[in-house]
Amino acid sequence: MTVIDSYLDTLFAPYPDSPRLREARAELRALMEDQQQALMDAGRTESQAVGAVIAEFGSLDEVAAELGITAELDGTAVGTGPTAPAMLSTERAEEYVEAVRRGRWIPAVAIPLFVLSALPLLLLIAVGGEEPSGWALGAGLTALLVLVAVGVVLLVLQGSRMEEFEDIDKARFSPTPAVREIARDLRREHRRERTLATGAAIMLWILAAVPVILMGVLTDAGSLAPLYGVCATLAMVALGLWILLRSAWSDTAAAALLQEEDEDDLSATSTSPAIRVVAAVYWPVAAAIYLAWSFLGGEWGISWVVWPIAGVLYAGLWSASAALGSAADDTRSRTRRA
Amino acid sequence: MIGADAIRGHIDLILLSILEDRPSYAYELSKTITDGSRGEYLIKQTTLYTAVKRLQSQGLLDSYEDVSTSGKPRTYYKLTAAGLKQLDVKRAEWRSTRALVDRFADGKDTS
Repeated sequence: MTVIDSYLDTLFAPYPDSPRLREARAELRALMEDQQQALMDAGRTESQAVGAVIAEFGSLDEVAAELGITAELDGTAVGTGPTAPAMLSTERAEEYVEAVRRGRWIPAVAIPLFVLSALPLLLLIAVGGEEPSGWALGAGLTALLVLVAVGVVLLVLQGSRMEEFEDIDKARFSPTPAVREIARDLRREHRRERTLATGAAIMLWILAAVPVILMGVLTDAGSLAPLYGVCATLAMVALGLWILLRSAWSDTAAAALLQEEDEDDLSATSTSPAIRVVAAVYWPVAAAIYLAWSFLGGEWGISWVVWPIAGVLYAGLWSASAALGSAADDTRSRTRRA
Repeated sequence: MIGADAIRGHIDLILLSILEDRPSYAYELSKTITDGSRGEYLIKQTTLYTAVKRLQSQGLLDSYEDVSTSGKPRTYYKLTAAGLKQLDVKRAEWRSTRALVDRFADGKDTS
């Protein structure tokens, strides 16, 4: 950080962040640097040069007026929409990052729980062989509902934890240069961790198809053994989600502070009420379809394909709901929480 | 030293004239003006930037990214066809303004 940078930061601080202003800052900075360099080449010391450059700077009001942003500065808002939102202080930005960091395990546990919810039921059916006993069904379905319920409770908990930072999540603030710096540092610091996690998760999801396919091919028609493959697949998908979501918090927090839009952020949409309902209902419904087909149709040997199909649809649903979630809000706000 | 007020209305003409020769970037423009004024006028950075942006928004200048002679990336500005036309208009206007002001200001000295 040079003296010129700090000087420009101070001058630009009262103005809301916008692409035009960022461009103006960059170009003025380049101009000042060139001038400083020329003065130093002419034999002035660095501090003399910087002093002379700053003395010749002039008034930023003049630039702002030309760029049409004076109204935003004094808050009178002539034709530029509502008054600029409040500035976000550095302390609050740091509190927010800390809150997201502390709560990072919540979506990372809750969302994989939904995927895992059907696992006990399927295992019990597979172990039991042919027609599952009433006991196995009862225990399996109970476990399914409990796991889903725990997941939903966790997401609700996360929602209320982050409630005090709603202005940040909904992008109702103006980031100062210092806040932007915090966000960029956060992202830089955790880049390696995120890259590794994303790689591991994607590898798991690709390999997740293997157990289902293998068991489907290797076992005799009519056998319940493919269910073991389904269980392994669901477990791998859940593990991938856990790894990915656990590392996503730094990026989610940085994106919220920088007010970026990104629509396929799993953890960001995980606490929206609509998603909670879908998550709560989805796997029980899949289980109901599976059991109905198996019992009524008596097709235990083939009905297991419900699960791989449900898994693929689930992934599609997340992307769709993420897109819907951001479309439903106005352009600057998001359903972002991690 | 020439005051900023006296020159305010003529910055556009000065910039357009400089850019008539060749495209240039902010620092080079400011240096050309300072050198050309022989120390009589020092343009503020914000005044220069504002004027350039104003001319650009009027469609008289175009900007593009390039690398300066010192090897740094800089935003260059060049005259558009409209800018060239405007330069002719401004020149003609300046000549008649100068002639008019001279007629009054020079009166007592030259008669």
